Amino acid sequence: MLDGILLGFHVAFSLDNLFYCFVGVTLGTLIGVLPGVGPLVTIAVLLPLTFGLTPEAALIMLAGIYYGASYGGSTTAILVNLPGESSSVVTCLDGYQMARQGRAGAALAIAALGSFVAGCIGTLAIALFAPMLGNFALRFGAAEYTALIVKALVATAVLVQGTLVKGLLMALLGILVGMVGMDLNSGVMRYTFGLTSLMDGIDFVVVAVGMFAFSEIVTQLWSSTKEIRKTSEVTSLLPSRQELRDSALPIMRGTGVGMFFGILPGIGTTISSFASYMLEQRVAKDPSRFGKGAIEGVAGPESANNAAAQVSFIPTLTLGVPGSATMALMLGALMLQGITPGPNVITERPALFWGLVASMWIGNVLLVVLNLPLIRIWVWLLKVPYSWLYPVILSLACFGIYSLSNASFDVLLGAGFGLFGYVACKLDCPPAPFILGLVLGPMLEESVRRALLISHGDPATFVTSPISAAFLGVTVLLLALMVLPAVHRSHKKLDLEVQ
Amino acid sequence: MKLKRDMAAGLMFSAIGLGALVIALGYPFGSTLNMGPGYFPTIVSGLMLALGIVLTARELRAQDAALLTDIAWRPLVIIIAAVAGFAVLIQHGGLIPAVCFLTAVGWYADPRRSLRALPVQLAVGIVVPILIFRVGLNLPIPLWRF
Repeated sequence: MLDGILLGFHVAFSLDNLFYCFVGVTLGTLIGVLPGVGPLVTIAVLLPLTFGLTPEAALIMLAGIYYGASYGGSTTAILVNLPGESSSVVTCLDGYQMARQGRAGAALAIAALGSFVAGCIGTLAIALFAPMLGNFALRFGAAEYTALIVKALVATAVLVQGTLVKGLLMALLGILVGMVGMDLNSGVMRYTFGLTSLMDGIDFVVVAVGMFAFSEIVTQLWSSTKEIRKTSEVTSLLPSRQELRDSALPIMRGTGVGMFFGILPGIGTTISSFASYMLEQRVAKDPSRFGKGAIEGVAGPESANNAAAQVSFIPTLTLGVPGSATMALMLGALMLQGITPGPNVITERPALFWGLVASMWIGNVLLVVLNLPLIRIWVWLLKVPYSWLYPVILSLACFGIYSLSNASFDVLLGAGFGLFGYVACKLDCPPAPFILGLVLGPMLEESVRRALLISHGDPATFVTSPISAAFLGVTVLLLALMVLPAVHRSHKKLDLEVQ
Repeated sequence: MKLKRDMAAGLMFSAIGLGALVIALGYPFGSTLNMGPGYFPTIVSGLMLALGIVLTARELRAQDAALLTDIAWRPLVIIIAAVAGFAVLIQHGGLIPAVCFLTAVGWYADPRRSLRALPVQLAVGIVVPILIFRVGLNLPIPLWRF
């Protein structure tokens, strides 16, 4: 394992990769801070830029963008009460209150510090646990993978906001879109409607850019007519000694909570930041301070979501099961680089795996070094009006799609998915299960086929294997919990709080 | 008459599911032992149709359902049209005409548009992709194709 980390730092500290890590973190923060541009849009729009790179460099840069954009999301959560991603919703509660009391600088510093500590511990945890999970995953056959993918899809549909049925439907639609093109086993064209451009299937980037960039621009342009944003001033960046002392334990607790939820495949970061917030409220001597600018309410969740983000690379890389839409985008990028995530990724691509682990740590260092001194620039960026931003995003998105294979058909398809993305948003259908279905669909079909072939056509294979039965059991449990009325009500309540 | 939100979603998914199912039935189904190209699509679209009907049926009985309102018609139509126009022009006109069309049409979608901003946006819209995609990534996208 020590060899692995050494190899990782060797890879990550190569001048090229260090440069891409730096570029990723900077670009991610830059774009993540811009109003109306969350991590999803950021990654979707920047995805095509990584194609020319080596897989290592591409993944390192994407991971940098991912952290940078998440950090940028926390910055907007604290300064303007605008969460970039659902995982920083909780940060708004106390972070924005602190900003209104003139403690914006301290909140930002604690958020960065908490993320950094969580990132360090998370990196260590990945180095320790990923090989173990990888070994465990080696016992996975086709039946186990089928069950795991079904579990991941259902879990995402259950955990996202909105109705369960709509989440499941979006996952199914994603699988269906993933089927477009030539069936590799039989050579039959499926859902191509006679179009040769669809023979190779629909590129994942086309869907991502269409759904997240185009439809987001429409939504933002519509809502920007109504809101007026107030930015808090950042005065001193230094947290007081009391604030530092108050956040030490929440940061550690948040890291623990985040790591726990991060390692569970298909759970994601949002739950972990909520859990950490609730934990801090529970252990606090005076819970009434929460929601009025309690520093623990920033320190805990921020550490938790960063730890979870970091650790969730383990299930994403070793099992191929992402925990969030953003992670699904990363997985898609990985597959585009010709890497099949799976238990073998550590042994087969050690440079890639350990290089990524090491670069995560470096990325965290860069974030602290970069963000705190540059905070004034980020604050200034927050004031950039959307009217100036969206033409650039629009043009980058169009060129990004076009550059995939110099096909204008792809751009038209992207426009179509933009339309679909907007319709789905208005119908309150969550995009995360759709993206996950799209990414995992082909894998699901292939593992079902293989599992049934191995078992001579006996579907009982999915329940006779203990691992597979356990995953399916969890799936059924999740569904049953959602159907039970009591849980349904509390889920609705959580939705309201999120909104 | 206002459309109920989940009703619309249910109908949409039912329709897609039904269409996909009809198409899937045209592919060889195969057997459980040796799945044909139609096996998996049939299951997926069948499930989709069933869940779509469940969603629609549930809405039929719902009392205070959320309505489908506040649709951003103007930016939606304009942005989609701008992107579609870009798609045609990049193939037949080149980079500069495509960007000009995209930016100029997209400009109309902004409720706070000002005429003074347009030239700058056009310039930025042309220079940034040239720098990134032609200079940076070295992609052969012609500037002008006439």
